[in-house]
Amino acid sequence: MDLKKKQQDRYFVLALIMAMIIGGFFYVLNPLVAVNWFFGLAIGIVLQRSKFCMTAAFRDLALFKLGGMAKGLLITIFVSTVGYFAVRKWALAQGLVVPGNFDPIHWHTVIGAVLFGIGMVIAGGCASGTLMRMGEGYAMQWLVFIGIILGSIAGSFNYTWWEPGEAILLDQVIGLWPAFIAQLLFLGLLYVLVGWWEKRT
Amino acid sequence: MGEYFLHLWGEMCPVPLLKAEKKLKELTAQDILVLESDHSCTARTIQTWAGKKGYRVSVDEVANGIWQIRIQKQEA
Repeated sequence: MDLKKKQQDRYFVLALIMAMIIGGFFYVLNPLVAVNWFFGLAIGIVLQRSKFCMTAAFRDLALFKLGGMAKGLLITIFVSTVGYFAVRKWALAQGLVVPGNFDPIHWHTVIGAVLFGIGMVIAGGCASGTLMRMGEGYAMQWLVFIGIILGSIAGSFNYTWWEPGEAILLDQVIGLWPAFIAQLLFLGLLYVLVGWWEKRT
Repeated sequence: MGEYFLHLWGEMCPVPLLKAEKKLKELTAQDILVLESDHSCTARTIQTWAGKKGYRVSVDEVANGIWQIRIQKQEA
């Protein structure tokens, strides 16, 4: 195997041009798809450069007491909570239906979380991490990706069965502002807990 | 002071760090452990971990997608 480092600038330019052409093609078909395409690419680049990994956030915290990624994940949820709150406020002020995908939680959510947690550590990545590492050229993740596709197809067949009843939104129960504050406080508490766990010997 | 080598191609996180942790326990202070990994996240995770432990650590991407990580154990 040739182990010399090869310059990959040319491939980068090639990929960039390809991405632009595909983006233009999407734009002609449907501008929204083009927006999704470029956002997807941007998120992929950020994930790759930052090595942001949901799996590592939990795994390294549990195994090695490394909480950096877990804190990053908490900050991500914190920021998106604020952003989503703004979206909700805006939607309600406009008299629109609040956008979002709400799923009821159930006993099987817990079981599913445990299964997913074990699976992602063995597979070396969750969905986004797998895609990111496929892009990096880590061939092992292609196998994982086949598993993701098979699992998603199997899941989609009986998706409605797993979602009995309506989702309960916290802000419909205790109000918009209290729910917002409660979520931020809870995330802050988790952040402090992660810091405490990291320092514990 | 010795130098030890761990070949970790094909091992995904968290296995490289688990193996490094185990090997480093056997080594004495000032010993150097060299790891070679093809998993992109390994280098950064091990760097952070070794930094927290107070070990000296350096990372070199010796080929596209192959990282060599040198860790020098310090006195506990």
